Amino acid sequence: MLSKSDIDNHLDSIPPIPKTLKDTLFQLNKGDMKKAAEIAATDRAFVEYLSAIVNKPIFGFREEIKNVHQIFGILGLSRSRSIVSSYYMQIMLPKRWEVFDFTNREFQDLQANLIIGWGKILNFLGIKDAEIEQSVVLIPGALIVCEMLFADIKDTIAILRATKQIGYDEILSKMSGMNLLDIVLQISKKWEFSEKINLFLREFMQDGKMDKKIIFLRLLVSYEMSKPYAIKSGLNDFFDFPMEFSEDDILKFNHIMGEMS
Amino acid sequence: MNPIYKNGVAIFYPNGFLDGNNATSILAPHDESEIISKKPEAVFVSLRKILFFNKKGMNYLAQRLNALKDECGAFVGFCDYDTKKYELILSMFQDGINFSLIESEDIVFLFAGTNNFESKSVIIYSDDNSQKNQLAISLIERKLEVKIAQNRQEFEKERKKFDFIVYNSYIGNIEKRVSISIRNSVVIYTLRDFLDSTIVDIFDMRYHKNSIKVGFRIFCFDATGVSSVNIHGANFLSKIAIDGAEFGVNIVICGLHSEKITEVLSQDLEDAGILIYDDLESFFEEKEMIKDVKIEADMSKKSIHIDKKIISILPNIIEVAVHTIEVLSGKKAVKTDVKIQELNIKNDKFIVSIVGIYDDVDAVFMLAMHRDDAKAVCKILLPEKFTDEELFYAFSEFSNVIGGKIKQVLKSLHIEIETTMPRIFDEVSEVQKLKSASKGIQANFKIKDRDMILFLSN
Repeated sequence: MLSKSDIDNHLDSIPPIPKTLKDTLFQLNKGDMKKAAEIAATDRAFVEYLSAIVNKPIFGFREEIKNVHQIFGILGLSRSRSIVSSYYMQIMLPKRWEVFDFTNREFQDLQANLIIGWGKILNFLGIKDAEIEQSVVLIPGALIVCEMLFADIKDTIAILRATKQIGYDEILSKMSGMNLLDIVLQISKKWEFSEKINLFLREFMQDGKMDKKIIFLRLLVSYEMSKPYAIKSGLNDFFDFPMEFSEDDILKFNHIMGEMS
Repeated sequence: MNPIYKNGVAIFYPNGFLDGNNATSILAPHDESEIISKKPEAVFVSLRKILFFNKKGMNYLAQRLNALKDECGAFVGFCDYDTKKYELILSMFQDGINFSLIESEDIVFLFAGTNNFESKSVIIYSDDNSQKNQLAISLIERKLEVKIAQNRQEFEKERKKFDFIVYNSYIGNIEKRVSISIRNSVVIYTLRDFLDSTIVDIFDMRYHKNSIKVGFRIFCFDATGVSSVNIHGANFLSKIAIDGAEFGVNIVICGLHSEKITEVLSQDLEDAGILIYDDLESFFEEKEMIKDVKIEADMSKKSIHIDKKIISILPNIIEVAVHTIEVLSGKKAVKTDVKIQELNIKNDKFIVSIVGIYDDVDAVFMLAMHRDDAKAVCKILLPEKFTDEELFYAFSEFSNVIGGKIKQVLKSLHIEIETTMPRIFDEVSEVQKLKSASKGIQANFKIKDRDMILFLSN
């Protein structure tokens, strides 16, 4: 069983946000891309991360981009903010994934795919909201949380799931009385994400009325979790939210993401 | 993706999107070999959590399911869909469907698996007449009481009166196989078509041997659906009967009339100690005989001895079991003593589960705990409100979890074992009658102030 204090201990072990990251984001929020790049450039690990993400094929750049000024310049303010925010997750990543058959590289791919997909969706819906765009990077945080909490009892979890069709969220809430959302929100609080982002995460993960952007975001996450790498990792049924959508929604979604084979 | 095995049926539960890109990951080649080794009666893909599917994805899965059908004779198809998805599938496969479509997972278990739905009522409706009949025949063979609705109106009017309803379903051919069910502690194997040399391939000998271990003593072959028996088929049954004799196992065969088997073969079966009955019902009327078999097993108790192998694996088994119990119940189990003795359970509020272990080590593992503790360890597996039956089922699932973990930990010590399905007893006196209970290693624990017992025997 996972007690409340076990969970608190795990949450306490999450490192605070590095100053460079905080300051970079602060400058980006102010709109000062030049200053943001200057601050970011002082942290080598951070620069390496940004360049690894931006040079993934999904971003579609032909030449390798290494320089932070260049990175922010090409991505523009809003997407730069998302990518900088996704570094939050990077500092929580486990050394080795044990509950899921997953790697940190795959985690980065997932982050990149969600950022790009979500950008396309918001663009399609005509929504221009930096915080909403940024909030997508927190969603994969739930995976890290699960990995962290279940690593010590991974055998029990694996055999439980082979015996019965039971999701991670359900196991977590039956064991501890807390669900994934509660924990993601606590992390978000610790990192001082805004109330607007928390509210959006709540809407995304909880039952209740869904507007178009929540429907599309859930479709996007389901789509990503249906990819072969996610199935192989045991993540296919990780997010188990209720789905209600029309045929038109799914057609539009397929259109946004490009046709399926 | 790993399927979930439940009562002899394997079900895959994919989520989200299903297309040509990811279908190969849902049913990958290594999943197939694992499934074949487990010989399930049915393999289904649940579409409940599928948001979008296309023909390429469905086609691939149908192809692989059919390959599994060829390999292990399983009943295969898709289940768990609404009318919209059903119609979409029909329109995708207008040239013909070579798999089955069963509208819900519960209904799959009517057609296959070890659950016994005998005498439950079911109403069937399909627009397609030949389908209507196929569905009905399959369910009658499974001993359900079937009504076929003549038209939609009748179906709508009558459906509430039945235990189950079957509609929006399509049945591909159910292949020849041996289905297993349990009634009054008797294991029933239902045979179909010819009883010949192919029985060796389709009969699950492991299941049979393990059922003997966990306390089943009567095995009944229902040959009502068999059209003829040849010498290979008869020899197979004789061999099973002779092999089982040392454990006090009784083999019964029902529904073999003179036109299906020659007198000589029939005589051979009787010489091997097989009891022959006209049909299942006339066998089950022999209540005394069923009772006597239990006593016979009871009398042969004394010959047990504990071998060194069991003692050497005991610490691992205890550690694994206790750890799992503590993780799932959130309570501490404190060991009080370990002794070689006869199984000794004083409390009648106990539930006992028995799992057979075999291959490199032969053993029987029993776990006995107070009902309230059983509820605590099964919390994750139970709905908020549950019946006794659901508790027993969850306890059996929980015992399966422990069995799986024992298998894993012994494997790391290079000891390969298999485990049987657990048999659950809610009457302690019944357990004490078992041969395995006469001598073993008993480890006593306290969960707060209540006892918990782990017992390991040959």
